[in-house]
Amino acid sequence: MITPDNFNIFVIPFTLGMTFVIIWLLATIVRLWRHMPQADRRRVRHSILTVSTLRAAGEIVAEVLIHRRIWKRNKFLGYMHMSFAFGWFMLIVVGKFESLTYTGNHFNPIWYPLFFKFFVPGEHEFFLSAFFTQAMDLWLALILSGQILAFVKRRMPGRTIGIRPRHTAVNRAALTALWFIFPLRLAAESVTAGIHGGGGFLTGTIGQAIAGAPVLDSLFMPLWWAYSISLGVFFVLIPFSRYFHIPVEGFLILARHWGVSDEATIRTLETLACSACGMCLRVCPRAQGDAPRMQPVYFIERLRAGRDNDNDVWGCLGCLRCEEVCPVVVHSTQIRMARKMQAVPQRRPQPAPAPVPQARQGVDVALFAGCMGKLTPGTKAAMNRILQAAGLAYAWVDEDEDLCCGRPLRLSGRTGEAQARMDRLKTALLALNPRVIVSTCPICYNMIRAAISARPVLHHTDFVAQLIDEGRIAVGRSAQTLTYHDPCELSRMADISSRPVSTLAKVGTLKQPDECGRESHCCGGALGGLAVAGHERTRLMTATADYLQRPGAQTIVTACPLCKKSIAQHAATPVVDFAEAIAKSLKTSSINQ
Amino acid sequence: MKDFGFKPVRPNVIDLATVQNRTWTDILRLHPEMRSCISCGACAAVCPNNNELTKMSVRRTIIELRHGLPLTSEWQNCQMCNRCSLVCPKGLNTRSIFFRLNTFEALNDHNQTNAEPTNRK
Repeated sequence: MITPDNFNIFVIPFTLGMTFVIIWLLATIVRLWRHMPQADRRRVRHSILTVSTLRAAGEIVAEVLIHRRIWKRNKFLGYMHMSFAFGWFMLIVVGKFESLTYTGNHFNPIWYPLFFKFFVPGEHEFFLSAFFTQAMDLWLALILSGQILAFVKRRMPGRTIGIRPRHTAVNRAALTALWFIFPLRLAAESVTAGIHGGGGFLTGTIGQAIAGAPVLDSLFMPLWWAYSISLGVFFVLIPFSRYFHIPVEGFLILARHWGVSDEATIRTLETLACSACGMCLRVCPRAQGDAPRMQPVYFIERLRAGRDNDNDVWGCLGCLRCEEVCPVVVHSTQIRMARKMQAVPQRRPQPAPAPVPQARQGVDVALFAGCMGKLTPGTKAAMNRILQAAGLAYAWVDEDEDLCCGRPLRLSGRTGEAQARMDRLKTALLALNPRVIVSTCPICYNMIRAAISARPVLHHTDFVAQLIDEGRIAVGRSAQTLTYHDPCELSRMADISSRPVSTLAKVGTLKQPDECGRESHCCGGALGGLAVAGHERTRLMTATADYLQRPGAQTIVTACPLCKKSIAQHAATPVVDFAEAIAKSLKTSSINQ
Repeated sequence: MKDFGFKPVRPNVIDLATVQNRTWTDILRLHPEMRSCISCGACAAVCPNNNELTKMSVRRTIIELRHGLPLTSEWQNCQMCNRCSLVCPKGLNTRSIFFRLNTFEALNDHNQTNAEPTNRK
């Protein structure tokens, strides 16, 4: 029941804002639900009462409240995000129980726990009242400590996080409202404590210090009004700003755990769950230059406003470094892919000509160099030597004709035509009836791996490592020093990064740069960069070549023809493919056995 | 006119000032670096589609675009493989031209307005 004991006109701004954001969120979820395919809806209905919901709840606590992934990257940012999220959550939960214990009524008005100190000022004895008072102050102190850090971060981004994203007007407005909320709460509760007594270690102490000051009475109502208004403004701005991630991220985690497979639903949730934290800015190779910004934080911000531009869609190299560090695991490359397909006219693919009949059928190994492989004949020669040494029957499927895995066309948004190319390649590969399919290009490897399940598909780094492990070829260790560059498609997309390194350690001493493996730099030649200007690519190539030469190894080794060509153009150190490095170290006795 | 036994032949010159060259202008707007193409042909040399079955020439397409001529090269065969960009001595992102050509709706206009160039034999 609404009585003067639990209602005052100043609660209206907060109540309106809160109601608005709840309605908006529900409408968003209902709309997503209605657009979801029947199979996914059934999956969700079947999964709700299973252990996957519990797992999701665990992840929600770890990610949405504690922000575990941000902690791993940056303790400073982790504490800041946790203090706001966890602190505010506990303030709501403890506040709810405090008002519940006090009134003994489950159905208190929505604003009652928030403004509890206004309606019940001073000291009151009820069950655990001292605990509640101190706990509420503790959570408020936690949030305020995070807010001080946030202030430091905005003042000196260089010392704390590197690059700070530039936010849009609505995001800045929401941030301002957010920053007003907790200091105003502190002020309002302290003034209340100053007039009526009570309060915990924070508000109570300040209250005692200012008690008796003549202005307290005139500050009392304005402060509670201001607190309510700042809450109301923040809540109204939530759906239009990056803070919509607060409620949406939980739904995204639930959808993932419930096995929702519909691309559109997951991408929409990811778009809304992007917190625009700017972690992607620090790792994006394109963030360093003067090129217009297209990093996920800006792209998604503009996409949500329906204002994404040409550079946003086509200017990304697709190196996936951003997805590696994203605390919400937003697959921005997939979101971009969906936009590409909308932007490009989808043509009906021409019927593919029949593959050239292969003379050699029934080989052990079918090799595929890919279109880029034609530019790196050294890799091909090295693979020939290794396979001859291993005594295996092999054939290059694209020896006589140019076959394509379709990835370049796919990246330019023409998925139908890409599929036609892949089908042709698949026919040609399976016509050889090989025991194993090996690609020397990680891009093709990822495509073939996804398309062919009838035969084992390997990247040549894995294949050669296996040959060495099985003792089919023997390599000798020399005094050479090597630096291995992890291609994006191999380390981040296919998760092959430790095996090439351990294999190379058998032929020489490795000198790795600081950021390698799944965090390796982008070579600049990435296939995704359809609209990246030439000078920009050159800048990226030079930067990565310099970075790889820093450890001072004699040779740079990589496992992708694109990386090899890009780095070799700008490095003084010789750049070789993985296969070349191994072939050079083959023990002569093992050749032509 | 008096018959001298021969006719004056129009000079085989393309007056770029009079050529309606919307496609090239559009490409330059998005990729101004394409001005520095030197038509060396390295791109065409490595192009996987520059063979007996599919006749496509990167260099030829760029020249035709520049001069506002109808595109005779089968540029639709481009599979965006990036080889041309990697060998370009000027470091240009050559393949972006074919990527743009595919998306341009203006291309139809281009081929219509330039279907019968008046100043070329």
